[in-house]
This record gives sequence, C-alpha cells and structure tokens, in this order.
Amino acid sequence: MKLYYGWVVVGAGIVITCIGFGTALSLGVFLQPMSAATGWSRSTISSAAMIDFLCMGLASLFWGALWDRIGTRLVVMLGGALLGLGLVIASRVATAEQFLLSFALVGAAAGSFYAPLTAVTARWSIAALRSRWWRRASVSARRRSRRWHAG
Amino acid sequence: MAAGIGLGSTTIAPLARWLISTYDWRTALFVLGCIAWALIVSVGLLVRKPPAVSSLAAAAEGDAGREFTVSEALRSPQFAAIALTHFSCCAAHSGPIFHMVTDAIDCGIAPMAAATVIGVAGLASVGGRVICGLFADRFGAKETLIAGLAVQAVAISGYLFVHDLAAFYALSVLFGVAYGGIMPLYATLVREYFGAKIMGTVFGAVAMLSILGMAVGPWTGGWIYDHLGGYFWLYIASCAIGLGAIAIAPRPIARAAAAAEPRRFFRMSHASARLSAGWADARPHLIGGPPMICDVHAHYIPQPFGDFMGDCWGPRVGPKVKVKQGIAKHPVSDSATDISGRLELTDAAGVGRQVLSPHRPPYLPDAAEGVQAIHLLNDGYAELAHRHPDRISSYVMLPLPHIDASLKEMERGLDQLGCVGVNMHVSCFNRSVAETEFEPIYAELNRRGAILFVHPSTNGACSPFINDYNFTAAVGTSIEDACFVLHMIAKQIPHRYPRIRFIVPHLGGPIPMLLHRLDAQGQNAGHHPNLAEAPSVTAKKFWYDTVCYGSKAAFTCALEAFGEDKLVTGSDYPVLQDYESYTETFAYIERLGLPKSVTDKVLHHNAQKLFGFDH
Repeated sequence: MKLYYGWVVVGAGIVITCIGFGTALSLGVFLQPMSAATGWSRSTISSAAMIDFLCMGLASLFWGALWDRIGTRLVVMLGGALLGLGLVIASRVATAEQFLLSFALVGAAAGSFYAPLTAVTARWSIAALRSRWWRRASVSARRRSRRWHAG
Repeated sequence: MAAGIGLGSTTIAPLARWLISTYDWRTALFVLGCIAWALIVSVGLLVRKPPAVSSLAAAAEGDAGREFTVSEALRSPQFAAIALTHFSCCAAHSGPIFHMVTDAIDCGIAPMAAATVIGVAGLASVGGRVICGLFADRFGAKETLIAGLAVQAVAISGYLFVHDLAAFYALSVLFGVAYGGIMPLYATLVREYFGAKIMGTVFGAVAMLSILGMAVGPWTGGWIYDHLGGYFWLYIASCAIGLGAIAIAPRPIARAAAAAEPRRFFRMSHASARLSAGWADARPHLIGGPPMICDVHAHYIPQPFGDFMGDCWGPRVGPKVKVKQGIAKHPVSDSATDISGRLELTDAAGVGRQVLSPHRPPYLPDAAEGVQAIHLLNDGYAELAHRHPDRISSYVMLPLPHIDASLKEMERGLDQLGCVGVNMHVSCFNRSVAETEFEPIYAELNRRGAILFVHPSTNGACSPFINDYNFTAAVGTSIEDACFVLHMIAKQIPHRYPRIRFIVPHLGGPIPMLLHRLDAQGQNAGHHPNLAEAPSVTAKKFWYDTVCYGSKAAFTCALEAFGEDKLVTGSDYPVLQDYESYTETFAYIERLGLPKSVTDKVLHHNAQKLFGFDH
C-alpha cells in the first residue's frame, strides 16, 4: 500500500513543532549552567522563556497573515531559518539583554509553526476523508477548463 | 501538533542537557540552532497542501472580498468564542502535558518509563486527530469539540487518582486522543466561519491566544508545585479550566430542541435564531459586497429523508454508505463536511445563496407515509436554511398526490418554515401535475402569488422512445421540462392563475426553439384552437433557469426567445460537477460575448428580484 501523503505531513508537523517548542521548553535546562558561567540572575534567564512564548504568540498573528499570502511551506521554512539564526545568535551573545533579544527572535520564529501546521494537517485529514471525489472533481474541472481554452 | 509540543519537552531538553554537560551552554545553543536549520528547513520541504486546498484555492482566485474582511472577523463574537475556548483549552492541557512526567516520577515510576508516558500521549494524539476528524465529519466540528473538551476534562481529573505505570499509560491514551483530536478542530471552525481566504490571519490570531494559554499552564504548574507541594491543585485547576472551555465553546444548534419544538424553533425570526444559535454565520458580504449569484436550482439530501425513502430514492448518503454513487460523490448531504464543502464551493463560485430542492420526486402513494417523508424533507431543508440564513433558502415540497395534505404543507412551509417558494415535480406517479386533480394547488399558489419551481421527475416523459434508448436523464429531463410548459399552455393555467410565478429548469428544454411553431401549428383546428392567449405568450410568462452545460447556442436561443428578464441562475447542483466545476456552471455566461448589462441582469439581478432578495 502506498503511504498516504497526509501522514508525511503530519510527521513533518510533529518534528517541526517538536523543535520549535522544544527550544523554548528546554530553557530550564540552561538555567543553572548559564548563570554559573555568566553570572546572570536566574530570573533573567527564565524570563527568556516568557519572552519566547510572548513573541511566539504575537508573531503568530504576523505569520498567519503572511501564510495567507505565501503558503505553508515557505512560512515554515522561513520560520525554521529564523529559528536557527536566533539560536546561533543566542550562543554568541555577550550580555543578558542580547540574550533576551535573541530569544525574542527564537520565539517569533517558532510562532510560524503552530497555526499553519495545525491547519494544514487538519485539512489533510479532511482531504483523506474526501479524497476520492475531490480528486475526480478537480481533475474533471481542470479538463473542462482546458477544453474551454482550447475551443 | 500538540504531540510535537509534548515530544519537544521530552527530546530537546535531554539533548540540551547532554550537550551542556559534554561541552558548554554556548555550544549547546549553537548545535540546537544548526539542528533547527537542518531539520526544519529540510522537513519543511515535505509540507504540501492537500489536493483539495489547491483546487479550491485555484477556484477562489480572483474572488477577493467576498468573505469576511479581517477586521470584521476579528470583531465577531464567533472569533472571540473560538479564541477564548482555544486559550482555556490549551491552558488546561498544557499543565498536565508538561508535568505528567515529573508527576509519574514522583509516583515512584522510573524516569525512563515515565518519559514514555508522554510519548504514549503523543502517539494517541495522532490517533485522536483521525478519530475526531471522523466524528467532526459526522456530527459537526462544534459538537465534536465540546465532546472532546469534556473527555479532556475527565482525563485531566483522572490524573488525581492514578499512581502506577499501567494506569498512567491508559490515562495518557485517553488524554492524548482528546487533546490531539480537538486541536485541529479550531482550525476547521475558523475556516468554516471565516472562509479559507483570510484563514491564516484569523487562525494566527487564535493561535496567539492559544500559545499564551499554553505558556500559562506549565508556569502555573511549576508555581503550584513549588508553593503547594504537589500536583493535586494543578489537576483540579486544569480540569476546572477545561470545564470552563466547554462553557464558552461555540454552541452547536440545539437539534434536539428543534426536533421537539419544530414550530417554535422555525418561527423564530432570523435575528433571534442567530442570537440563540450564537453561531449561525452572518455573512456581511451580502450588504455592500460585490454582486452575488442566487442559485435557484440546487439539490440537497438530508440523510434522515434519504434513509426513510430507502434504496428506491437514490443516491444513499451518510457514513454507512461505503461507495458514494451519483451526486453523493459531491457535497450534497447533511454531513458537516458536505455542508462546509457546499459553502466553500458556493463561495468560490460567487454564489451568495442557494434555494434548495430535491433532485427526485419525493412522493409516496400512501398519504400518511408521504406526509411523514415530506416533513423529514422540509424540516431538514429548513434546519439548514436556519443555520445559514444568509446563504441557504429552500422551497417547500408537497406530499403529492395528496392534495389536502399538500395544501397544509404549503401553508406550513411558507408561513412557518420560512420557505421562499414551492417545489413540484413535473409529474407525480406518471401523471402530469397539470391534471385537473392538482387544480387546488394552483388556486392556492395563485392566492399567495407564490413562486413555483418545477423539476423533472426523471421518468423520460413516460416515453419508451427515450427510456429504452437510455436518454432518461441526459435528454428526457429536458423533454419533461418542455412537457410541463406545453401542459400549462394546454390547460391555460398561467392565464387562469396569473399571480403564480413559475420557474422552469434547463432553459425550458426545446421550448425556446419551438415558439413560432407552437403559435402557428399549435393553435390550428386540430390542436388548441381556443386558447385565450398564444402559446408563446404563455411560455414567456415563465422564468427559466440557466442550466445548459455551457452551451452558447442553447443560452442565446433562450435569451432571444424569452428575453433577458426571464432567465434566472440555476446550477442543478451538484449534478454538473461530474463534468465541470460549480464556478464554471455560472462563469460560462460571462464568456458568451453578450452585453455586460445582460449578463449582469441574468447573473446578479433576475433571480434576486424574483425572490425579493437583496441585489
């Protein structure tokens, strides 16, 4: 049996959100070693998690609007690129403020995943239910319109 | 996606811990960044739109402005309800998701085994997505959402009582199914209510609140653990918030109440129906938006009626039907998916309103059974029309050939159910509805000045010349349309009952080509020498719908014969979708090279004027 492509999308969605949210959630792990290495207070570092979530929420508004225009795949890939950038910047920061700023970027980037992926996988499951007649309808519509343009 | 969030906390955190202890925190962050680049960007390439989305998106192009605008959507009570429900739902389940593992460890379960508990919940959530998708398809997204929220609340409260690994697993399955299943429903609801076009923006706003909810849960959980020394109050609070989510969840229409008190329910004004339903979608596009098409010839099969009629009245619809046949391959039934599919198709085609009728004669010989069937049918149609008062209207169908019952049902339909016209088929058990016994129906239609939409019975005009050669549907239906017009001419019904407004489907079949011949030969001594008016005069009193499979010859012939005021938009929804898109069934009219004023009249004004809709 051929693997239904919807499951590939669901799997991709899980992997991507896993990384997106995982970075925010794993901040707790960094708490102790970071404050030991830099001398920044723990509350400063843990507020990065809060900023991360806040920016994720706020940015999802922007990502949603962008998603209407450029589609899921581009939004997710752009978000992934920004997430990586944010984390790499965070690894090179000199001050606590820079660290918080970099995590604002990480959060904003992670905001691109949740809404588009939830929606697109929801549509895949609906498409699975309706795939038979949908395929037919769209094929015949396309054939029809080709005939129109030809004749 | 919630599965991803759950897995995120169990995979990334240990990985980060290992990186930190092996190298340092800077290397760990750097490696995480590289993982994000490598994995997300490459896996992102796999994300594709489902086929349905692409074809619909293509159809919706150039259709801008027909949906809610973003600001209208964000100010609507529907948006507030979805967003708040999503917020509380996430606030409720994120706490348990994050703290489930530590709680299990506290209960004496080995850390590795405890970590698999969240993995089980994650897997179950994928299953939940499928299960809830099926349920949503059958019972509606709103109904499924509420049921899912209830299960989630029960599952959360269950964590209060479990202490061993097996119980943790069992509960995690239930919990996972519930939260995994309900998450996609919010996206479905947003699309159902606000359309696919601005879905991203609106769902992005919903997601913003939900992510805040998700942030609240774990933080509160940590705070409760630190201050109260255990997870007891976390589960209590989560359960309470989960129950709160049910309270503010978008309410489904009270179907049970509607069935128990049909008269009162259907009598409610549109405004109060919308208020009490809270969710019936108001589509402001009808006011001030671009001109919309009114489809006077569209079919719909409510499952209870189809079930009642059985196999003789096809096609069968509903979840038990494995192989969908005929028009049931398209969104024609009363399932939630079909109804949202129907609304999507109408949106894409620029159709603001459909006036529904059945595609086959819904008549039964036994009076009591016939009335019962017609009640199921008309109630089903009226229920959909009341759920979407700005998108859907219906004709009232009559329990022919039972005249008294038909008169009663006409009154119920027009006065109580809010039907906008009356539907009869061309024949009833192979007797033309022009026969004398149907006279009281015309008298009553005339008294009311009602619209009568006739539809072929698909009996090939009782002709073996058609039926034996298998042209019953392809051509027989048009012959039936013509027969109806001819019988009306012969019986002079439009002359005697001048206030009835007739709609004949399929451009009247061959009638437009025959007007001259009818006026000449049709009135000679051997045929109808004593007509009060010429046949062409009678024929021009009718309105005709535009279903002609894109034929320029047929359309322009009818336009010439009947005049530009007499053609009204119809589609035979969804019959033609085997051959062309719903959009195309109207779009061909604009490509015929006719003056803009004519196409505009036919597409956007004639039907609306006839029914008294906004245009």
